[in-house]
Amino acid sequence: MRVTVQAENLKQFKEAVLSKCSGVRYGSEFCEWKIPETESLEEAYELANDAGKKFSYVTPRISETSLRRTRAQLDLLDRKEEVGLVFNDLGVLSLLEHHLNLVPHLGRQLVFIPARCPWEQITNLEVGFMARRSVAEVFYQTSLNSSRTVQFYLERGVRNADLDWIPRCFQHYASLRQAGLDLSIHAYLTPVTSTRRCHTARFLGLEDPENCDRPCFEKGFRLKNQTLGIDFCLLGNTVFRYSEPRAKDMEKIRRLLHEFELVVTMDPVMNLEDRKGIDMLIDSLDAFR
Amino acid sequence: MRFQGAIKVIEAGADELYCDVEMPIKHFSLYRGAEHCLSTYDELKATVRYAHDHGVKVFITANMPFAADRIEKDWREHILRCLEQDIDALIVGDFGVLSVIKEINPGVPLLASTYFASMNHETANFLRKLGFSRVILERHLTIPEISQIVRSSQVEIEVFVHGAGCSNINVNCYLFHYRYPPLTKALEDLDGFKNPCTLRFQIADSRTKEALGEAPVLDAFTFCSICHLPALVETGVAGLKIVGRGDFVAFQEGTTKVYRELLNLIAQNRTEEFETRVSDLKNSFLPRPPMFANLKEVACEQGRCFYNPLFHAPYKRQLSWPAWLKYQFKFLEHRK
Repeated sequence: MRVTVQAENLKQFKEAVLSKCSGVRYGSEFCEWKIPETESLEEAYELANDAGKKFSYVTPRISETSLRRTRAQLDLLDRKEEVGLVFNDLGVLSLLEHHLNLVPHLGRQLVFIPARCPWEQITNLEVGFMARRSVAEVFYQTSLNSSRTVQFYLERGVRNADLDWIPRCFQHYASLRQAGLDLSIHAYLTPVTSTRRCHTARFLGLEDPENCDRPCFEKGFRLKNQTLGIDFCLLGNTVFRYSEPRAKDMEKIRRLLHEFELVVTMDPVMNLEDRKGIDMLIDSLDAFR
Repeated sequence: MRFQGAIKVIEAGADELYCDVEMPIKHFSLYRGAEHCLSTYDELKATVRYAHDHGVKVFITANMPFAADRIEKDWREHILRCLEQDIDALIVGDFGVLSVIKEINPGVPLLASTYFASMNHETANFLRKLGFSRVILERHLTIPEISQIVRSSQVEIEVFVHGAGCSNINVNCYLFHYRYPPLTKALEDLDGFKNPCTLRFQIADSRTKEALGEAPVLDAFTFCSICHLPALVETGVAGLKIVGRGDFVAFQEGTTKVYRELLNLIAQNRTEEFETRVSDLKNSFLPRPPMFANLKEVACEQGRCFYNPLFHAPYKRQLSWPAWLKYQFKFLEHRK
């Protein structure tokens, strides 16, 4: 298991590079208003290169507004060596056809997993035992558990895919390894829903996306609905479920996948701010071995 | 949409219908209930026949964003049965499903579902190369962005105008609407729109744990866009989509009638009449699930317009002033 740290801004990234993680990711996974400046992207690449860490650039869903900047950034990275490009938008995948030096990596927004639903009890419909079992079996699969869909991405050079830490899905992840995909599993935060009408910005009264001062780099929120008994984390424009990896799940995934990348994100909910915090987290994950 | 709804919508002036048939994948309608589907392939056949007799096209949604090998056999059978009914196109939202359809009938016209979350012309052109003749855009776009996509794409573009203007990116939203009794109960307590995204949440700062009050913080639900119709038509989009196949017939019929009338006025350059009519409509009672409602109250005054600025917050007035002020103060202090 390799641990990779994902950072959204340069301040975080500098700490990540110094830590004992094996790879670093830079960029915004969910929000196009947080796409880094091109200069900072170049600096991040150099820092990772100097530290001898595997570098990947993460891109979110892209609107027409952010397309030009993203294209310029891909042009820049295409001139570098060994850069992974995590794409969460089909337009970016299309652009990658013209950037042959970049290694396409399927982002988790393009992988549909019913079990991201926070009320998985919906699988317990009032039907017979066999039907319930059948529903549950499908519920914990992913859209990549279609050999046709995997083939579609393999034909476009994709060899890696991002997934979430959902233990009941692990057995279905194993077949993706057999299909030829290397897997990156995001620990702790599973996305439940995401918007372009940013929930954080609206809550804080920010009005202009172009001039958003990105409070979500430092602020996150806990959301609770007592009737439903659910607890979410709101980070910027995305709502997550938090789930802590447990030793038995770690053992299960290691047994099923043998080799995979565990991704940890630096954000206000994880409270990972510096190298020390990252190293402590990696040590605690290593303790599961 | 049921057969009766289809008849009414066609009479009200729709050019195209989209509908679905209850899937043979038993008990797996997790995302939406099955109540909005045509219940049999025979009902689809009757709908298609009626529509074609009136010069209206029928599109079938084959767009669950998910097609694992485990359910492929059922999917294949379903699509085959739909194609037998002489439908005009399939709406597809998954590459696995696309592959199955191409194998069954490579010539069938295809529409790219909003499940592809198309938000730029690169995506639209990518989908065109895969065989789609029309791309339905994600809801969360501005009119200038739509205009740019239409100009830069070599494929027809369709946009949403009325009905379920989801608060979140549709395909990335896992707040499934149905079949969870506690959710049904929680939604019962809500006024207005009853979706999981409109629920109220207790909000706390994730670091300090400080309670910041209670608000429907995920509610960015939009509903209407009649005021923006001239600008949308100007962009050159090929289709304007009214969401409501699961709603009651009066909604389907009434809404279609309103949009047909307004589009006719725009086509005839009767600008003043258009504006007068829009103004009248805002003050009249229109069908709105689950009842009739005054459009001004449910949409305009709450800012539930599809094409409002992206960061507009319909719920803001519901937040208590002391809580909001307190939080703003804390936030400004933090940023110093």
